[in-house]
Amino acid sequence: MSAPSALPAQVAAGPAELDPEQLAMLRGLRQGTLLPLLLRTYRDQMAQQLGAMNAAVAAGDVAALGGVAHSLKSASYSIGARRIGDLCAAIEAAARRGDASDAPRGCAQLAEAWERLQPEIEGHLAR
Amino acid sequence: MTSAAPAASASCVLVVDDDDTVRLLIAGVLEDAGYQVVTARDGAEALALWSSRHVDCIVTDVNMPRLNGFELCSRVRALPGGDRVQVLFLTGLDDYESIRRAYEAGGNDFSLKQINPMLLLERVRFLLRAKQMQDDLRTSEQRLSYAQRLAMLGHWERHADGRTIAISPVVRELLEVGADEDVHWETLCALVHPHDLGGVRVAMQEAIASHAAFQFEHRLTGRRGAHRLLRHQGEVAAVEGGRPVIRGTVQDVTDVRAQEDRIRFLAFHDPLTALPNRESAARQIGQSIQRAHGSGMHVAVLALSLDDFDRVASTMGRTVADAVLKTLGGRMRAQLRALDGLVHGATRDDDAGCVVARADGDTFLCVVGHLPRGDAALPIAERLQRAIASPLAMGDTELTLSASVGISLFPGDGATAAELIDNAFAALVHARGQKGACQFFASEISDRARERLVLESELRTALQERQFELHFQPRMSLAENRLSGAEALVRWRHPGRGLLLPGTFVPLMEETGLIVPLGSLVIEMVAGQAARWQRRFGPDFRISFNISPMQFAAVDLVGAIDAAVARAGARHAALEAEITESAMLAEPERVVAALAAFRERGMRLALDDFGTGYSSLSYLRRLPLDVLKIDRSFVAEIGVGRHGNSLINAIVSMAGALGLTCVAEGLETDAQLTFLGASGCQEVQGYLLARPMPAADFERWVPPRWQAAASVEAQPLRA
Repeated sequence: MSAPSALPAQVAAGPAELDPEQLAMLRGLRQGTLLPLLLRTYRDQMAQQLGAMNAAVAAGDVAALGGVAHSLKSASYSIGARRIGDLCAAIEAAARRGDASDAPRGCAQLAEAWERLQPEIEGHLAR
Repeated sequence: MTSAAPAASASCVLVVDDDDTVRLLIAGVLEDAGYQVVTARDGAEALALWSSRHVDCIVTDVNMPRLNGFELCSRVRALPGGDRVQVLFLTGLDDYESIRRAYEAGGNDFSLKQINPMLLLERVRFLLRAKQMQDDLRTSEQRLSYAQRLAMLGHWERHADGRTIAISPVVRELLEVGADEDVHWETLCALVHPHDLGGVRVAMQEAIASHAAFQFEHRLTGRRGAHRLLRHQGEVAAVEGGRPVIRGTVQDVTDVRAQEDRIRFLAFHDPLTALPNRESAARQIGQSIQRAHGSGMHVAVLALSLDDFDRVASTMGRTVADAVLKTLGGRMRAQLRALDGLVHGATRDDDAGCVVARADGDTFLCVVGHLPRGDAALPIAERLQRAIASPLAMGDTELTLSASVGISLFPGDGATAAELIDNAFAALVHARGQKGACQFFASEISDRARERLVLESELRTALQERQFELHFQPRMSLAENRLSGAEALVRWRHPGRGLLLPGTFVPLMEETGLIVPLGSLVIEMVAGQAARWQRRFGPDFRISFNISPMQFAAVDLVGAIDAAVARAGARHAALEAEITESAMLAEPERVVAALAAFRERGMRLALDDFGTGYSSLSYLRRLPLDVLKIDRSFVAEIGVGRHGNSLINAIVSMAGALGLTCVAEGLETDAQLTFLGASGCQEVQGYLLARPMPAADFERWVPPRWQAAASVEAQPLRA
């Protein structure tokens, strides 16, 4: 019997992916210049690491999977992307137990959530 | 929200994280708070930075490629200065293993990665503050140890086992113990000079028993050590398992003590002749007076001057003159010493109170105590004159001098050293007229002294015959518009001069100590009156009375009051003691203890004449007071002086803040009454109500309706 998955059954849709409080706080740093920098960095990181994650799943490399999820988790929480942060946490926790059974579904949910977050980030960057 | 930190926090923080977003964010938050920030992608990069920058705090991720956070921390700790940097680890919420390892690696704190960066900032602030304190402490310890070396101040600690000790290098130096020698408590004791060891042990035992600080001095064993004096000071620092840990400092005070001795000698001696100086003579006279007081013995003060000595100085030069003074001083001292041995069998000058001192120029003062008769001073003076008159060989010339002497006697010619000296010099002026003469203080007793002595003896009689009586001045409560009590004031019914006010006799009584028996008499009379009046005026009626500062020191005041109250069948609560601030000058602890005991018994305490003395707020806080009596001089200023009104207002509101009842003394006009009522002053006393009067008159004065205890109905303030 495998441990109950921490992944949600479905990725719920919300009004905004980024936590407004965290955003407000970030906007206040370095007279507003830090937020775009952070979002751009995060976006580039995400694009790169989602690929790495899929590759790790395909290769069945649980350790690599956990590493990538760990890193993405921290970055996501940093900019207030809670949902993605939580998904990464679940994937990381499973990976650390050596359980890759749910990984493909987790990656799919992550991709789905990123699809929703990305336009929001672009929106902020365009402002 | 940007929290701009003060520029003072320009500490440098090194942020180490392989995640670009996280590193950027943390760096941003810290920079915004005013810190200098440097960043590194992993431990290896961080280490490279460490060598090139001064870093106060490292915020590091745990898992990083190349060199992880734990390794980074361990390596930094091993580097020079690396023990002083604060290291904060960023860990996951459930990552207990990392937290444990972080501390093992020498981390100071950890913070959750997901935490709000503002909270992380607070953590960093806290760590840097702690570092600042550590740095300050280190600096001050270094300074202290430097200062201790300079002062040759050593410190030691005896552990709870009573045997093992820790000693600083200075202690080893002072005790001449080698750096590698094993030292225990008994080793130290063995180094103490055998004559001093007993005192050392007693001082330590007392300190341990009472947990008080200790201080002792001792010499060391050995030839060199016996000439050196070490002083220890310390205390019981802690108690472990019921046994004391003792800490002390030790200092070589040999030179200090020698200097102190020299200074003391100079303060009381004439540097030329090495004889005691005038101050010293005055002190000796004071001591002789004390000893002679009431014994029927006399003290003689002889003022002696060399006749025509100015001529010696001007013809033979200052050097010869100085030599003459030295020689003659020595002769006189020898005479007095012989006299001491002869008459008193004393071995030292001051034992019998025989001293010769150089007063000034060519004048000397001789003090002879213990004379059975005043005229016995005359042969002594003649003996000194003869000693001076025997020829002096000064080089190849011979010199013959003479001396004139004036004599004053205790108790006849004065009661204090100053008076005796003045009168001896006054007599000397007469003697000098005849050169080589000897003159007693002519009028023998000055008018002032005679008057004083008469008054003093009359006062002694007055005490025996109870010629003192109490008058009572009413005190009114403004708020309740009723009689609240009375102040008892002492009067002397002099057999010849009628009723006398305290101003004419209290100062002398204070001077002579007679105030103490008078105070006891007053207490007795007050207690008796309180017992009679508690039925007539009700339980709230209080009699206040004055206590002189001397009473606290001289008698068991609490016991005396208890006894008087018990004898009279009165209650303590019917009494109010009035003291002045000067009571606190001599023995504040004793006074505070007595006052606390009064209060425990229900007596009230008033501070009298407030505003005229030191008016120290610390007294107000220290003393267990109930009442503050505003001095009459302030009341007289109401509506007159520029600050009169505001001073009263200030005193009343201060008293209110301290929970004290305010009583204004010296109330004389309606305008004052109106103002005091409006100011919030609770009670008044003064001629506007009534003068002090004998108890019977007081009873007649009080309106009948106030005489029933229960009646507190409104009455016109003035009958």
